[in-house]
Amino acid sequence: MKRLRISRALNRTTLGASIFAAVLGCASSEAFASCQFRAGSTTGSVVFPVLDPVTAPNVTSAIQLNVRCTPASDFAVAQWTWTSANGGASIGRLAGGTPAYAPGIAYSAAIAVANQGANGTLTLTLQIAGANYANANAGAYADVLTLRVTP
Amino acid sequence: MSTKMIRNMLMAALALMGLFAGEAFAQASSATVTVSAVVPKACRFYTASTTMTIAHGGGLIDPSAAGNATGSATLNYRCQATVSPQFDIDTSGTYASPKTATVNLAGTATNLAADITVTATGGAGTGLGAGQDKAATIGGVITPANFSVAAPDTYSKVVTIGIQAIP
Repeated sequence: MKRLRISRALNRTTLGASIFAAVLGCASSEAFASCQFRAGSTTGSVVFPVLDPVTAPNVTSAIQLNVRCTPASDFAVAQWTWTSANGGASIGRLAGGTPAYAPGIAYSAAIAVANQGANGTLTLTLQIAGANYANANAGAYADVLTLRVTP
Repeated sequence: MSTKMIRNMLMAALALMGLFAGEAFAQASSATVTVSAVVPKACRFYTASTTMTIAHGGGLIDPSAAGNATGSATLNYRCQATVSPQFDIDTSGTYASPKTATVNLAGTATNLAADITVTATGGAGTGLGAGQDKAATIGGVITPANFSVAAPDTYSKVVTIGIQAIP
């Protein structure tokens, strides 16, 4: 009888711990990232076509990265954002030129994600309006975009 | 150990696995993308057209004159900062600065040869934006050897001037 009472107490304690852990686990999954960039997709490069300032057409370039969300349902709530090293969170900016072109070349960035679960894709599309480089100095320009996903 | 206890322990283990799985994703995932572009050297005209008269005075060539008949006109160009232009005449495909070529001005029955020279008087560019215009001077010369034997007429030609940046 005594052993039985101890077992019941232990049983209650274990159950309590399991519920507590389950709640923590659930909260943890919701509070932190469950979507990630897959191996091989944590870096990339986008090279725009030559920007001829004489004709200055709008130019677009894109890159596709592989992402995964676990569980797949987190795909729907994940927030994919980007930040430009020379620009900010709302506008990208290429720096460079010889001599340096002070305004830089502004560009827009758009993120589109598709395919939930382990085989998701993120397409990053960048566009430079012709007016943004029609007066740019000659030379090479560069920027670094950091993509983030939360939660 | 009862079946219920084992079940609860399994539940706890599974829950802890869930907790650790949550920790595995605890940091926001990120990726970096390098973005690059190249802007080539460039120049362009900002004057669409101009008219040049080659004459000795009063818009006329004096067939008995000993000196050249001359004319001059200006086209505005812009180049990026520190970039210099070079020119082509009548789409020969060969650019130079200054650029000289002989063109034939057409008359009613015959042509009259004229030497055309385009010079980047304004020098290197200071930018392609507004207010950065530089002057290209177009000079025209008809020598006595040519106009002294020309038939009285009006001679003319539309000459196409090309511009590009010196690589």
